[in-house]
Amino acid sequence: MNDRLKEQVKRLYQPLRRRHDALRESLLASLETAAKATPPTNRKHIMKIIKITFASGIAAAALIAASLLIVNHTAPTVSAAEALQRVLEDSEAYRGWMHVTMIWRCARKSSWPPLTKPAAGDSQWRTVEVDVFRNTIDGAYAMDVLREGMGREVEYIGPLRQELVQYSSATNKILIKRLTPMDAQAKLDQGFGQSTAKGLINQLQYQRPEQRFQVAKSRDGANDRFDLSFQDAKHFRSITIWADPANNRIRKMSSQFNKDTATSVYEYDARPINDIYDLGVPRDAKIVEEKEAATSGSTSQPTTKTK
Amino acid sequence: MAISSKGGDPPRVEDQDLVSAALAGDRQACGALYDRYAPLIRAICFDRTGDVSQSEDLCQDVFLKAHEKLAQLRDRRKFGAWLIAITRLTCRDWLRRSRRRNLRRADVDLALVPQDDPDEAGCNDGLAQLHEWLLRLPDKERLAIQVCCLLEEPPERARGILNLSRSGLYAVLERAKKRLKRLATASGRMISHE
Repeated sequence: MNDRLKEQVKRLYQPLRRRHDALRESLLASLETAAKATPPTNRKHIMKIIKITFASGIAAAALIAASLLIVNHTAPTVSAAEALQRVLEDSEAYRGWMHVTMIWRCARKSSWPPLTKPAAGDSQWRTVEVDVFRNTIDGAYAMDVLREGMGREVEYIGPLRQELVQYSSATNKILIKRLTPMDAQAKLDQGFGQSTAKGLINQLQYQRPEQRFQVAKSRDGANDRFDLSFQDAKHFRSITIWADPANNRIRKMSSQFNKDTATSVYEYDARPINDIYDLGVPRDAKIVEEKEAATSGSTSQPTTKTK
Repeated sequence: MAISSKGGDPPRVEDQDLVSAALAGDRQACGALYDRYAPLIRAICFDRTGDVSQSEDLCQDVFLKAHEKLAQLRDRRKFGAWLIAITRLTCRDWLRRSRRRNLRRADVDLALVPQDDPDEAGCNDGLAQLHEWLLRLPDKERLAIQVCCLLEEPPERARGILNLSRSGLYAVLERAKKRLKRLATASGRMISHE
């Protein structure tokens, strides 16, 4: 085989390799959790939980587990639960920029997340990619969502929390909205869910005897691994959390709900996001400002009405 | 576990050993098989669907199906050929379903190379043209090129995957190259390997 032809063919298919690692992890998580599959029943309830946890970072696992703590009734293994609690606490205590990459693979019949409904002829799977950035020192937050068939949506809230900057690839427009402190907090909670992680920690601290899920701790390569299994929740097959024993922070989380799989990878000391353009939003996107004439300094964008 | 090594290359674990380990529940073996074959499978799916995300999805489906039926694989040395067969069937089903919905095959997205890099963008037309020519090759010849280019396999293993003799593999590759050359000449362009 001629080397130059080989090189060109490789370059031709190179873009297909871009998400190789993430897809690999997603597949392995699917294979792993498929082995523990149980038939679904309580779909509606769990669906609500997933909707709430959409796009949350560390708290995605935490909220799900916390909800199931309440819903289901078996006592966790205490030592493993305590270790998990410490991991959650240490993860939450991190200060600086962090980046969570989530890949959700939804089965065809899944009604979540809000995707274009796959028709019968489509592939069995739909994918949503979410990148969440959060500065846990000043509270700056950014989220980049790629929904298959629906394009890309980016949003950014600066440290002053006065504006929400949103970009949609469908319209190629940047929309700037004025935020009240309450709206900003709600948005941040929804996006990153710090408060929900605390919810789980509280639950674990109380160690109520009627809590009914099981945590098993094991070693997986260089990481600690926590397998959360739910005996009564028919939809949630499993949640697995990997933590780095060096700093006791979450590195990865995967959960399986029916046939849907969500895999999140956590990066600490991530690159800072200072404005929406740091997420690759095109500079030529038109800026539309919804807020009234700015009276205070803009956090991220010029205050011109359009560009 | 049988390993082979040539020169300074890292030892290569054979497919049959990885399959056996995967059947025994070894996660790393599953990952190694995925790393080895996913680029090829995605390329085959991309040629059929013309859509990057669709090809990624189909590739995942192929590996899920393969994992499900791995125990049924009789000759574990032929994992690659078996996987390609599953890929073809999966793509065929996808195309059939698409046709049933009166959907024509999506136009191939030839803008594969990212546009933000001016050097890359400059080569984009050339790669798009190459892809068009590859799509015009018979399946066997295109697959031979993809296996040799994307799998980093020596000819001995590539011919095993393609179920060809050594001379058969070279003959197929030679035919493919001649055909590419003809296509290039016909379109008034010379591809860079000439």
